[in-house]
Amino acid sequence: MEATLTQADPANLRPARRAAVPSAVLGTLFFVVAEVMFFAGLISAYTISRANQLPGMWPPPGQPALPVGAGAVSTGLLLLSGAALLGAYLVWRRAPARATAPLLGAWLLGLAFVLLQGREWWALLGKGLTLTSSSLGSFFYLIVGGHALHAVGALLVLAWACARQLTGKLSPGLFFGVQTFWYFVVLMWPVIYARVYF
Amino acid sequence: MTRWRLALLSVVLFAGAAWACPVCGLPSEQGQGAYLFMTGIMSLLPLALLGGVVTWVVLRVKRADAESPDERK
Repeated sequence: MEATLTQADPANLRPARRAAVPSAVLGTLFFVVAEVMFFAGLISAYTISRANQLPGMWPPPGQPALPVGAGAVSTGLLLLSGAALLGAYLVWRRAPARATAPLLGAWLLGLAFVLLQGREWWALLGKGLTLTSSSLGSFFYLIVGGHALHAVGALLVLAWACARQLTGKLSPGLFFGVQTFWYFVVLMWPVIYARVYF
Repeated sequence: MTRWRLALLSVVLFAGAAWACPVCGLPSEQGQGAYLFMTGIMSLLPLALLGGVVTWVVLRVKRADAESPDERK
């Protein structure tokens, strides 16, 4: 999205167009809107399916309860990662060279979240919760797995942004786009955690 | 004509079994509540999301224009 004719370009005397909203941000925002609806659909199906279970039948017989404590730690790590990225942005606005440490911190916290999730999944698989063992397993791996895929994708682009930052080539458009994607991953998770784990 | 009357009578008498409303067919009160709640969420969420994005973009463009009004042609 570009604001109309905001700056004159002395090189060719034509009015230059300056982006009011970077294209990377706008594109990511539309992607995020679609992904929010994707998760809303899954959570909606889960909510109705769970509400129609007979009393005392959730989790289904023979299926383990979801690890609420480990989920809380994961949630904390991811929220801290979002805060670190926000901090990196605030530092980057004043002194771009000093934003490297909080940016790397955000990436490492995000990586810790994904690794902890992987460890949780491994334990749950060992306890018999699989994609086909029950409706709880199906919904859990579909919703949490969908989020994990987004987290891994966002980690990759965050790593790319870190690499650009280390070489001093991190552009505002790329940084804003990456932030938008990562904040989506960060803010989507507490909703999933609150809805699925309890 | 008798057939039409019978059809009309059957509609009146057996309307309760038609379950035209998908929510009414759910077995539990809790299920009906969840269905209604999620229908509301799924109906309003896209409007809220797109409305939010469009509002934000409009505000950004207005601010960009306000920051450099004399450079507009």
